[in-house]
Amino acid sequence: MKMHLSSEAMERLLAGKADAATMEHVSGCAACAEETARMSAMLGAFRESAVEVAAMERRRAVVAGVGSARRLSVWATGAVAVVIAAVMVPVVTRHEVVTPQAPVVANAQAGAAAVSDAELMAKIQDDLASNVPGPMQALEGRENQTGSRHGSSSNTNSNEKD
Amino acid sequence: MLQQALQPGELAMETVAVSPFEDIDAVVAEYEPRVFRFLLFAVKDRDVALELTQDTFLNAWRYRAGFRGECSVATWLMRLAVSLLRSHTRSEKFKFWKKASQSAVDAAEVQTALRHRDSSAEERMSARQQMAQVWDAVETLPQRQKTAFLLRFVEEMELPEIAAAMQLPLPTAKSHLYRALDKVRKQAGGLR
Repeated sequence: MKMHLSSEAMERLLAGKADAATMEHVSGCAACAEETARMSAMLGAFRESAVEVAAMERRRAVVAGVGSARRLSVWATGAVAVVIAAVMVPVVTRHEVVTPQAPVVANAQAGAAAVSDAELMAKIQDDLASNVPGPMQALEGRENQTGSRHGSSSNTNSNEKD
Repeated sequence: MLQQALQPGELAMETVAVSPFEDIDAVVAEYEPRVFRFLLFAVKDRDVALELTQDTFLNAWRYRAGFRGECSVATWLMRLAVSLLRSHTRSEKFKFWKKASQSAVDAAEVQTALRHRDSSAEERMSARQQMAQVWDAVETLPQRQKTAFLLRFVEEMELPEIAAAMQLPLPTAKSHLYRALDKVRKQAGGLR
């Protein structure tokens, strides 16, 4: 059985680096000679088409890239304009001249300073005293309540006895 | 004695070499079409190829200190491109965009891109059919075989350069290339 060229031998042959044995085989084998010629032409055409298509696709990519960059810049400009408008319109329409508040603060501080510490403490004590019931008040009120309650209960008890 | 004759300053002047990537504009101008071409047919998508090409040169600039001149600039760039391609094809994003991309390269366009030389209609038809067979075969190749095939037969790189670009031992790179060539030969009707 006659052995034809391996892919390794074919690759070397196509690269022009075939050894003497391979060259001798190709010169004596019509099938290998025919295949080598066909592969050489086919791979040459393959490279040629690849180079051509790649150049074409690269041009397209560059054009598409420029186009998208332009579209992006238009969109970016529009977006920035909208943001500026959204911020500036309320500021302009609601703008009022406001007098400085510093004197008011100064008066408040002056008013606060007018009340002395002793008076302030006395006021606080009064407030606290009015909110917290006196110790005897609660007991007096409670005594009255319990007294009436005892009275009624004693009456009840006397009624029961009767 | 030669070493005694050389002054320290002269030795330093000889050993210090300027990285070619310092002039990145010149590198881009010279190699960008080639890197783009390889990536285009590796991913078959114009936009992805352009993005990966830009990333390749960005990485070339970023890691320019790592280039020691042990391989050519083209091989170094292809190595970066192959590395990016590998991580890209592993990502889920690639699997999705492979199906849904609008900037995919049209296979028919590739197959009919041959210049019409002074040949008969029959010869042109035959050439187109053969081209279609090769492209179909290349499309079905696993990623590494496809990479090796494109680097060899489109970029015309030598096997040691392919091995360096793919970061593989030379025998492994050879194996990928020969398996790819086997499939293309079978598809083209040569290998039985």
